[in-house]
Amino acid sequence: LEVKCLHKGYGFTVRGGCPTQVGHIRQGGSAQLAGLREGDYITHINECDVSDLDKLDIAALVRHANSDITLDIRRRHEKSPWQQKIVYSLEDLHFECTSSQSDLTVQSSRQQCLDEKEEGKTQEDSVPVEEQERQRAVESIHALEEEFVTQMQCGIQRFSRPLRHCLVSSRQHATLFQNVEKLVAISEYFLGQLTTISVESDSSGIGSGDDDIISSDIGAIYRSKVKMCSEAYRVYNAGLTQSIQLLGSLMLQTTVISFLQDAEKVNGSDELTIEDFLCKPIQLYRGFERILLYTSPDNSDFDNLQFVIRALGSACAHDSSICQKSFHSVTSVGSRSQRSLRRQHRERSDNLSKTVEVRIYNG
Amino acid sequence: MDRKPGHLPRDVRAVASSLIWIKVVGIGNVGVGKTSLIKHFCESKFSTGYQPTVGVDYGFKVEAVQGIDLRVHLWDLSGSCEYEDVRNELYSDTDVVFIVYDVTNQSSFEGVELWLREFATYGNNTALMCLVGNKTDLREDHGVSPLDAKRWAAQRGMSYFETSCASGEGVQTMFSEMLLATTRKKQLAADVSQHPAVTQHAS
Repeated sequence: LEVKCLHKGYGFTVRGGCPTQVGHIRQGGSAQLAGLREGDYITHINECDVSDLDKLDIAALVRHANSDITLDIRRRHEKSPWQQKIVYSLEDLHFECTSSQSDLTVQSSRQQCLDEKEEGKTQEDSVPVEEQERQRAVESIHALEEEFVTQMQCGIQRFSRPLRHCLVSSRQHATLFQNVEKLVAISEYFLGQLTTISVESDSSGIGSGDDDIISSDIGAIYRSKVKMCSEAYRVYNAGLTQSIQLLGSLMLQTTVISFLQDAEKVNGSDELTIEDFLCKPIQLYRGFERILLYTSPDNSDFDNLQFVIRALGSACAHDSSICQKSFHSVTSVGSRSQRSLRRQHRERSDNLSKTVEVRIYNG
Repeated sequence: MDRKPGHLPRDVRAVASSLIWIKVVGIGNVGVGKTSLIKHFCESKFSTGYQPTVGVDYGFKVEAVQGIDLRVHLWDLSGSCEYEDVRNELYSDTDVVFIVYDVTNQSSFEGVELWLREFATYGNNTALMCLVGNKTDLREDHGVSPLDAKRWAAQRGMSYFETSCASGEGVQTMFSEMLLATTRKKQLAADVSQHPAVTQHAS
């Protein structure tokens, strides 16, 4: 379903994430005229797949599109893959936490989002929004780390530990799981630092209510340990191809397959697969770029952030090609094509978010 | 680890969760040989090149003590002050901590007191503590006197070990005794008969 938007003010807001839904529709706005409805899922913008992007990215994309945009959407009653499966649990978690904190803020920021898209708004008006979005981006990093630690620990329990005792040799185990314990320890450390800050901010009265993280320091925290972090991720990244190849060849053994099937079935609600587990580390720090979108270059933390993002970016550099390849090899073994499809979506949207970033640097 | 195809126990996780995990942490000044000790224990490897640990490393080994297989995680913490806060995050729930010094380096022995204090501040006081003098193969007359070290450890109720990762001397003894002591401490020995599944999976 295609919707053409004709004017610069599009007249709609977005909500949720992965896929992002259309929120409020302004009466008489071009979105309404074009037939967009509240609750529509946005899958593509100008033919770019955005189904894995969250509302902040989508809002940024729409905001920075200078001309008409074309949206591909899905309606609820249409049978679509998205309704059957939540694609990226990580983002849900983020929005759960932001929206549950105070519905009021979300509501008001949505309103501001809407305002911002209206024609004739000047740059100054959007400054507090930027700050608010930055705060949100910081929270999302916190949520990302938290979710990463939980998922990785779950993965370690589910795959790495049992496999130490059976089916694979210790050398194979090392190839498969590499230094995941270290990666988790690092994230636990960062999480500890972020939480410490939030406690301090509460006691000093700087933090306001639920927004308990001081955003100005996040770059400094990461920068102080960026060497350890990027080294660990570089090592992990370098070995990932081998790890995935090994997984592919292990999947030829029926015992391994049945072990994995058993392991993945545990706690049905949480469907962490071994591929998700292995690829999770290289996806962790992608969300980072977003915070830079909302950090003004005058902010004292800007340099730190830029430094950290560059360092981590290079540590996780050639990831997408690995993942792409890997999932072809794995899917060729099992009936996992759906998963590979999801992966492709995710990569395409990653490329997209990179172009957004570049655009904003230039502008 | 030779596994016959189809060896998979009925429920791997049930077995895995009944296993006994021991957390071991190694601390001490930069370059005293913490990583070498852990590498030697886990993989029986030694290399002369020095590669400082960036932040933290992790080792794992299944070690049989008195017929019980212990799953030993070893956290190898950087001795650099840059990572003090990272270390402090990792001290909790430790079963065994070994403080390493270099027998040829007096200042690394003087640092031991500080390490003890750091662990006492951030770690759990139930952990078993040991002092390890490493690099005995390089020992010279003017190095740290073993008597001083022994006395220091005895005063604090810690056991004392001497090791050389280059020759391998004392490494296995040190880890075995440490693990034995912690096993006794946890009074696991009495439970052997209750864990028949555990012993089937010796590596």
